[in-house]
Amino acid sequence: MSYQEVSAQIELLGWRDHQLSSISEQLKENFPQLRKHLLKQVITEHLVKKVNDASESDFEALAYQLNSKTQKAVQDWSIKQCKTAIKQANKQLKEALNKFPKDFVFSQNIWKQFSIALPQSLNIGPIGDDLTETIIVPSFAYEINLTAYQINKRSIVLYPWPESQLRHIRERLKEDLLEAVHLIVFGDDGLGKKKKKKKKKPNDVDEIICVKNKIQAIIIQNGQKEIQERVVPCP
Amino acid sequence: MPIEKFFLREIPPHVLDGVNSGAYKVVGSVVRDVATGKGVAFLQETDVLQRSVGDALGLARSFPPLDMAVNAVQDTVIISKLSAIESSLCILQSLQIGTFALAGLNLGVSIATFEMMRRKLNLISEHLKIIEQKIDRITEDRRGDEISDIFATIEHHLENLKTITVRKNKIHTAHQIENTLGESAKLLGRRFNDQLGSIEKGMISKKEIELLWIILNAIMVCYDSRLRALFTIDELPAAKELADQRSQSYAELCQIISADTLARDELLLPAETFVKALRESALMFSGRSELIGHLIECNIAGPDYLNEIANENTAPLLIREMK
Repeated sequence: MSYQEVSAQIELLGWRDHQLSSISEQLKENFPQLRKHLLKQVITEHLVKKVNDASESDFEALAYQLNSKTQKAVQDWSIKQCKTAIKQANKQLKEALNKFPKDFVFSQNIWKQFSIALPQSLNIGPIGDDLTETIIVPSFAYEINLTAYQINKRSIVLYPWPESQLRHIRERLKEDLLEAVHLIVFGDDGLGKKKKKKKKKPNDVDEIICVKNKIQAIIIQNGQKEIQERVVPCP
Repeated sequence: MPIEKFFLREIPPHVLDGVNSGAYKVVGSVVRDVATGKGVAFLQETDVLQRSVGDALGLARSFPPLDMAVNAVQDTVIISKLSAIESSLCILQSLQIGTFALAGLNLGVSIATFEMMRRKLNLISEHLKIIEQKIDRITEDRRGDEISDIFATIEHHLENLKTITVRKNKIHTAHQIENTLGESAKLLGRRFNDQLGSIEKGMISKKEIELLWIILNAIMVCYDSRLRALFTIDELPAAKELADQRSQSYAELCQIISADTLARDELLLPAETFVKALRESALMFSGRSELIGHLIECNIAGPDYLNEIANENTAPLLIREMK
């Protein structure tokens, strides 16, 4: 590859790396908002009341409601984050591309290199235009059902629960739910080695592609499309 | 009396003005016209620059551990000191100094002699000993010992290269050593890949990233030495091919590594410095390849070019304008 091709490739990889880090940073910064929302809207107003009033047979329905409420909150938040990231990434890609001379030719060589520049962890296949379809949180139900199952098990022994038990259930549910949300958003790579080993996960959790990786993949694939449009086809 | 220069000259005012006005841009070691993207000149550092920059950065000149490199890159005071060293260095303001930690500013052909490279390798080796004691996993499978063995082989060859110019059969010997250094670099490359492959996503530890940094520096010593050996025996086409291959390897490595997939929190910055150094290394070798191509076109012999740089004792940067 010529020097110009290598420097173009390095410029684009610099853009990619900056986007990957920026998205992580953006989600990390804004996650407390989601947490606060979940604590207030879902956990305090919905969960606490329901747990207090629930009978043994209500728990399946409660778990279902929690799933859908939490899932919707995370989904809405994720799409908002994705839109912000797209806007930022497009602006920065434009700036990066403007650094090239006007008559710069994006050769097949540059494209070939950048088209495979998606880190393996972000290889989630082709992405459509509908963000709602892409940023879906399918594994939520499993996490919350697991928690609900633990409560049902307890309920066999302890129902009707004393206040101390109710408090315990509420705390456990809150912790599990927030942990599950964290897992869905960031994956398990932010948990730390010790915590990661300790954490009991459903078997299929390793296959979850977290929201962060999905947004990163969307941004990089969008960038690839933008660059592909500039590539001059071989004569 | 100023030393006569045949191939290189001090940076002329029009190039400095061009860079200052934004008409020209320094990308790696090539000065480019922003509007056309065409190369205007090649920059070539001298030992004067290495000394000045080393003093300004307060770094161990030949091998700073990753921590030091990270601090140097972030420190705006250091950067402003750097730009204030000499007027001609203002051209460097647009450069990042991340790669300095890896192998100098890398403008043009490496100016490090075989003896300097041997000393650098010794420093790398000492640092390896310090950190390998702290990495249980590596101690267990004796990976650190293997790396030390490779370092010993490289050092032996660097010793031999020091006397290359006075040997009777210097071409044959240089080829042999250059090939063996290539083998050592390959072995180190394998260790690098093994180490990289064993890291869980986003979970690199401080010691692991330091070890990668060490191996990367040692690989750089091998390739700088190989290039210098090829220059010494005037095998510029082979040197160009080597620089091309290296540039491609670094660029490919950059595709699969990003700081975000390597590290979190407080290790993100060292990881960014590490990845940035990789990216700049790809550019550096590509720039070298282009410079070597230019030297071949202009029938400039490798040893003559090296001599001219070695004899410079006042200017930190020289330039080779493209006609």
